[in-house]
Amino acid sequence: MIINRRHFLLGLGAAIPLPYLHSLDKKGTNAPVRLIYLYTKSGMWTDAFTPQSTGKNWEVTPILKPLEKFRSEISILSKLRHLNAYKPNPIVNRHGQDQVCHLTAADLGRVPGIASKNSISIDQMIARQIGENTRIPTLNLSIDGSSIAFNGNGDKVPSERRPDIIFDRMFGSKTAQSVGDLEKRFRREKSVLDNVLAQTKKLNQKLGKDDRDKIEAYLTSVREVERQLQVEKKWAAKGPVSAPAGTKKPGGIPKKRTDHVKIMMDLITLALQTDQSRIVTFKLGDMGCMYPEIGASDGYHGYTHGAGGNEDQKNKMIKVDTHRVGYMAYLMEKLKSVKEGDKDLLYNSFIHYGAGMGQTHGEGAKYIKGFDILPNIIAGNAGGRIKQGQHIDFEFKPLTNLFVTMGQAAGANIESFVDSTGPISEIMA
Amino acid sequence: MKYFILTTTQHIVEKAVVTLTGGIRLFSQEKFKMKFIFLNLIILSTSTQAFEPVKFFNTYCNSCHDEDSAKADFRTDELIAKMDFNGSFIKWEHTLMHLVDHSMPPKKKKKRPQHEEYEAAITWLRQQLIKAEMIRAEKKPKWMRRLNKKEYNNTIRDLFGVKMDISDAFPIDDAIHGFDNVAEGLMVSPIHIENYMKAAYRVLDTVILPEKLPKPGQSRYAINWEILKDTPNKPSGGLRLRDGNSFQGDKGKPKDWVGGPFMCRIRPENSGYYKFTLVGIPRNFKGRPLGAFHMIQNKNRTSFDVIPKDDVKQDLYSFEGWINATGNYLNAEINWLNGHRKNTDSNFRKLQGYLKKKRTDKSLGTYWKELDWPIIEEVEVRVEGPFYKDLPNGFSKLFHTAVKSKNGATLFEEFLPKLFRRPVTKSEIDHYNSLTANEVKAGEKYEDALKQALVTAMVSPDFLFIVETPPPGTPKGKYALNDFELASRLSYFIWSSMPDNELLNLAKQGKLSSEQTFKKQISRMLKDSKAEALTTGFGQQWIGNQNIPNAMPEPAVYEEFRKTHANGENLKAAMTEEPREFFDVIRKEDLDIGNFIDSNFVVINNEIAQLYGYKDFQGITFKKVPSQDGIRGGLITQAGILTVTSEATRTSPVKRGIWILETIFNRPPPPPPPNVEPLEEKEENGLTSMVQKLEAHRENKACASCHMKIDPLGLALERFDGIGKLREKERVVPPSQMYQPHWKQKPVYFELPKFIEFDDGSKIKNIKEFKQHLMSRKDDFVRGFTEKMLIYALGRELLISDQAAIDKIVSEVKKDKYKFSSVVKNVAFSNSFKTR
Repeated sequence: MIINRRHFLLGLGAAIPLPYLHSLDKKGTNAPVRLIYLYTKSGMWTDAFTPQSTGKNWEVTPILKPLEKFRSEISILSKLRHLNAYKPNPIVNRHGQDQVCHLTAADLGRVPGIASKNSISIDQMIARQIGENTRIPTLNLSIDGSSIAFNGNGDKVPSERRPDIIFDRMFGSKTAQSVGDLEKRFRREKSVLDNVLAQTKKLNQKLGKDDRDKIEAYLTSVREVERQLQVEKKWAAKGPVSAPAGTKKPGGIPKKRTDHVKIMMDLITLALQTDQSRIVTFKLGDMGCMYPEIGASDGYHGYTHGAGGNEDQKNKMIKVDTHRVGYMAYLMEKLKSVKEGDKDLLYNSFIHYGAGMGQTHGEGAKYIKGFDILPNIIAGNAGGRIKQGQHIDFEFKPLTNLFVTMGQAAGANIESFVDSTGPISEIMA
Repeated sequence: MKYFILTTTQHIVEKAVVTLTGGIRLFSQEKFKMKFIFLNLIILSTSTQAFEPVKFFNTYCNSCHDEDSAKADFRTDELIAKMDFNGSFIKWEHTLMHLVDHSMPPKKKKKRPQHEEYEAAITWLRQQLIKAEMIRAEKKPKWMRRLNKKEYNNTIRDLFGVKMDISDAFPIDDAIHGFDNVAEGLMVSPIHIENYMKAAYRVLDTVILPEKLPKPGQSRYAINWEILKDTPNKPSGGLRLRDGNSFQGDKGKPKDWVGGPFMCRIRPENSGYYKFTLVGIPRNFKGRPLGAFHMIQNKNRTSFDVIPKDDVKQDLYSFEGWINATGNYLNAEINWLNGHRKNTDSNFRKLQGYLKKKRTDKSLGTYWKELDWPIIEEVEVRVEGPFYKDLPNGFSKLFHTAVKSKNGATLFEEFLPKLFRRPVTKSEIDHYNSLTANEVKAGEKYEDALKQALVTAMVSPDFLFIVETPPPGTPKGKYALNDFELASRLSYFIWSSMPDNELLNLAKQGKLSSEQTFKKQISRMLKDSKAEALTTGFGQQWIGNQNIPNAMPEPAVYEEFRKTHANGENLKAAMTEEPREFFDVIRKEDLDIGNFIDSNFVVINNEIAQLYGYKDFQGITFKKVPSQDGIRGGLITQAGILTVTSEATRTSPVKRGIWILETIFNRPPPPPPPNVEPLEEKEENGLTSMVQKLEAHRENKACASCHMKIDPLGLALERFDGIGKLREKERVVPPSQMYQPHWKQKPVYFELPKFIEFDDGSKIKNIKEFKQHLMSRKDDFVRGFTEKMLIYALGRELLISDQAAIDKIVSEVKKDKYKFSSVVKNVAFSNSFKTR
């Protein structure tokens, strides 16, 4: 494969000192924990993923092959599930439910006969507590513009797929302005938002209940921007952030899926390394993804339907699954190359790689085992708080337990999340 | 503002439903007919005989849909036993669909209900569902919606007179129920608010022009292509120009050899409209057109053809657009498409030969004579501008007057009613005045304070949302929109933009809702060029041609998608355009919408003509021409649609069938049951034809009942291969040979089906008969089309209570000879459209 070098961010990694983490001591023991949620759409062929043996001596399965060299730095958490999200219900189409519930664990059928709204996702939940510590509270990325993050209203938090725009959000003109200009802008924007809030109350009196709900969602967003403005102001006082020397602004979206994902991984590394954000969500695969470069040029979605009864389809599905897990290996390598004191960025991160579903496609009430056997890989030591290297079978405990553990590891005071029963002690160092 | 609530209707409907469902007691038709059109569906077809649902289902449905056979995994015996319309709403809705279409029990069955029995069952079931729907709909919020990205752009364009595509950076809107203007998908996140604020500042900075306008100037930029062919030209400022004749080589292989942009890089001092003119001496055109497209800042790609006279220096093409002075270089670009520069294998090889001989990666432009390519010498670009048209007389003037007098009242009085699309009260104007004053107090200059107030207005929900104000507590569909609300709904439907002065004035006079005026206005709006929004907004989403670029035909199977053909990129672009251009012709010429199924014309360009085997067609721009073979015509025989409904290496009759059911009839089949064996090739069992594969698939009982409906529709299109080219035989390449060189492959050929039998027993032999078959269901198509357009017009999903409106629209459209404009008019005239 010929990679257009222009697409990739050069100068990432080792050569860069740490001007960004002012608080870091020499050994890097007090580095912040970074959370990364990687999501692969439409499940995974879990038969070729889940190791047979548990404990430390788990065998490397075909799909885990790309992560072989990180064997001691990852863990496989089997049979964690979202009980709520996969309750059969007649209203919500099961397609897509894997994605929207992945980080929210919501029960979309909770009111009989009505498609209920989603609820807040774990990344946003954690950001409520620790999001202010960085310029960008959560960095929500995808390859297709859809998102796995949802706000307190249950509305989608838009994700970004354009590498150039993500780069600008981190190092663009906004941060390059002079402090005086920024002060002026902050005052102006705050004034606009204050006035909008005051004025909208008047409009609200004229409206019916449902419209008021919609306006309420609008007002929540306005207040949120106000809050962000405060945070941004705090950050602006610290001066602008420039990209590490030698980093080039990426161009548009690369044509090849793999190139696109890789450049997004580069951007994630850049964001974490420069401490622009500590919480990242990234949807790295879509239903219709085609990978001609690895001989899987029909859509992935077709494979997920066909894999049950057809060897060829199954093999192609496994091929794609492996390829996608390879993306995680790529990211881990990048993170590892960034030193933080004695340790590295990978050591200070906590990565979760998951799919919203397992290997079986289910529709409607006819329910099939396997749908809820979710593949879960975790990596990174969360600054020494988490140990890795095991395969644990949880025999159907809530996946939200992992989310709670991740939140706590990052310093958020989260006791429970939706159906969780407590943090996972088995992976704690 | 005036409004009235149809509370009495609501009361009666409930009463009617309750009574009708409790037993069979009839209302006199006369009593309601005139006032309450939407009661039609309850009253129209009530027969005098008592309908017995259990008996009906036992007789006609349960023999196939019970525990034992449970065809399509669907059990009517359970449904009828439980009678839980709310809980099993979707299943009942599905049942209703089959009854309405008379498609169940299947037409082959001997024991089928009489027409009257069908009608009685439909009436009964609809009543149940209306009741369930009412319970359900009451629970569902009736959200108002915000402007979507496209509407925001258009609204800014119409407010200020500058097309600046400001919303491009906004997050992408979700399309729900098929359209991106449906309230459920249009959420407001903090990122939106941030963007709205940023956009408002930027818009004002752009449209408030300096009082003393810069004079338009003219500059000419010329390059000698011979000198410039491989050296990037970097003048220090002003404008850069890259020569469009330089074809690059890449280590002995021709690369990007069909294109080659003329790219001006301009860094203007002032924002404004600029005009670009391409000047040069054409050589070797010989009267043949050269296709090209232009873009400014990679946006608004527009195709055109040039057919210049050879060997004379002349103005070849000009275009203009708004350029924002940002201090950065901006691109204005003209790209040559292949036009006459044929992408043939022989040309490619010839070129490869020259390259090898010369051992150079350098410009290939020198070979134009050998390759018989047209070329332009002594290229120049003339840039003129900035121009401002009537901009200085509009908003900008109001603003400057306000600044001079330090009084914003007039500005607010003039501007806010347009911005909010409704009259503005005195207290609102006072509010914005005091807001300005507060900003001055906070230390802003008057000019900036005024801008602050305007930004506030542009971020407020009064602007961003399409506000309709039923008094709190009004049930759905019971509030008649006031004139201003109606003006907005109408203009966002037809123009995807704000109402213009005429509409707002009529609303102000309270005249818009009168039938005559309303009708006249719709006709006027349809004639306006802004009505193209119906094509880009409704048409494209209805057809789904935004998906066509995602199709990836396998180059190993389709020659047209190989490197020698620029990877099929020009073809794919044309495939994506064709349905849009076709829709636009039907809209503009106000034709019979039956043309979407079959037409005696096609709207094509040279790329498409080549694929269809149409002779004597030149030029990259789309033109309406007669169908040469009688095979092409309508949507379903268009290359893009046939391609997007195919797999990478083969056709997919299933996808094609589903596309027809979904798009043409708006009756998508239910999703497949889990774990179905796919249609993939299993080489060890020997290769099979598509017909054989589907037959095997239908052996599975769970699949058969739906596939009986889907497959024949798709198989009827087997004359077209996976990229929509006509073929005589089905060519199957064994998967193991797929990536071997072309000449090593040993494909197997299968006969195409000789005839197709549909589930109603009718047979067709060819595409023409297939279209006749579809045309025999024209009224079903009109209904599906109407439903889709109503969703788009209302910005919400349809409710069962919209059925009456749909029935009425369909019958009116039929009376109007199925004209496109008639659908639009009658949708706007419907009760669903005029109420909330």
